[in-house]
Amino acid sequence: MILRVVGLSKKYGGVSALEGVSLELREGEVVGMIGPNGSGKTTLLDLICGFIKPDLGRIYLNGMDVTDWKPFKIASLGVARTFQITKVFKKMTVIENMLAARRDPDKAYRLLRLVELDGLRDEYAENLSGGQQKLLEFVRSLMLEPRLLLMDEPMAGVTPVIMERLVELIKDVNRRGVTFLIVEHNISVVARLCERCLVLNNGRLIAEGNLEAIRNHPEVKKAYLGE
Amino acid sequence: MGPTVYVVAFLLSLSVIPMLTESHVVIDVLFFTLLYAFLSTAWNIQSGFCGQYSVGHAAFLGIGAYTTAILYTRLGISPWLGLWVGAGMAALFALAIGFPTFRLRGYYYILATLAVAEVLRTFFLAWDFTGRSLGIAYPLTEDSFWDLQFHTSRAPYFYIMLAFLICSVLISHWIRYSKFGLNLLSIREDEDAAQSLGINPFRHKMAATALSAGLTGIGGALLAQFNLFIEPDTLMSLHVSADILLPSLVGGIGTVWGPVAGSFILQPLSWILRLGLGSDVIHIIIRGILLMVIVAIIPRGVVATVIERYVRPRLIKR
Repeated sequence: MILRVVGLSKKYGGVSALEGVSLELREGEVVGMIGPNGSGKTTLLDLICGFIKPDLGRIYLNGMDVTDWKPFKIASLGVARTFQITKVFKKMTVIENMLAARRDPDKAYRLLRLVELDGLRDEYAENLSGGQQKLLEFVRSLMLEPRLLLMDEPMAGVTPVIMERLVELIKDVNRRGVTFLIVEHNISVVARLCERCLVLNNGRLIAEGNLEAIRNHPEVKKAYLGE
Repeated sequence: MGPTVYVVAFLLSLSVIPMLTESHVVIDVLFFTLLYAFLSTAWNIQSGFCGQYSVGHAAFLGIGAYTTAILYTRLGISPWLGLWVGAGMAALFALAIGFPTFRLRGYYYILATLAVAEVLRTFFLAWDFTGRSLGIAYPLTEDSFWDLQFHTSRAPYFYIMLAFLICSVLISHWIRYSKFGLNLLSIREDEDAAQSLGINPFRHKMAATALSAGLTGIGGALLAQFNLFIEPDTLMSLHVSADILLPSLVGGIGTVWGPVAGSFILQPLSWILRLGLGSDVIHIIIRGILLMVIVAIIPRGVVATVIERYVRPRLIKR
């Protein structure tokens, strides 16, 4: 079990963002997480990375309780993260973005070639297109050789060409044993990548299983389509 | 090495100037140009590279100057040793400001630097130990390297300042292109993303501010030796902090050469206005307007913007 989350709850003011969420990720899985807007998906990722602290519940990585750890310490355990709104270092060049993660130029160039950004290595990241920034953020997170990659809507605002490339990349990286937890609205992408899916609604985990089972789950139908 | 080579070569070439002229005015203006290039280079390490803007660097300047002066006048300790003690004191003081504020985000740190610098100045104005508003005047000696006093020729001050500036530019260059420097930049750009790459923001901010303040303290010590007199208002006022950060803003914030380029524009300009107009006020007004215009129109700095627009595109297209 690479990740185990037990009974996570988080409140903002009087509003429950998450309520008693428990889940487990097995090594080498690609797990999708879907749910309507405001259902708590990003909150859950932020909790796992340590950006916010839960009111209740524990988080275990490889059996270690990391609930109170700082984000950079959790990252150093091999947990990488990409963000819904891409967080590349805008006023740094493409290659500097890569080297900030780890000073390993050979690896950096190899990864940049993989996403065809090696020609833009001296360009400031802010001058890349939105899709290129997503690719850069993704390969930058790979510099650390993560064991677990948390991705928040990797396909949002991305052209079909780049989407295709990202899907292939994720499959590729996964084949080398990296575990993925992916928040994504694009169901066809989820269908291609994930053998297992989690559905969040109003801060609760309402369904879990393969996509087919989830589609027919009464709670899910209710959440997406109303009564 | 890139542009740093040209900066260092340019600075080295300046060393012929004292051989060409004995004019005190020229040497003095050059000294202040080098001094503020040095101070702004120090400021740029924490503010330009790491994004932790300080508007109170005059406090570190003051601490360096006072420490050196007190050690010399009370205990007879050479300024050459005193300036390192001053640097250490300034660094400790910077850590004390950073400790409670670097965990917070937003404007807390800026406000803290502003407040602390003003409190310290007021404190020094009231404290007998620092000579209150009378400050500390050095007992004059003959020309002496060990006492860091030069009267017959001002050129030694210039050479010493030049050496310190070149060292600071090399330090700045090393930081900018090291992993440590990339970590600082990434914290400036996005603290969350930096953390998700395993970078500890608090520790890096503390390291950057200690280094920046320490260098600034050395600058304070050198300024004290140059004037042989220190007092809180000329050393630690808000406008001194502005003088320290302006060269970086004008030259190019977050670059190695920006603070040097900025100082070589601002200091001579400021002295020409001051000497030419015979007024001590107008150049301050002009400088204030300049600051506002630059921040509003070209926040990345004059020289940096010119290079960004006209030089870099050609380099990239090749």
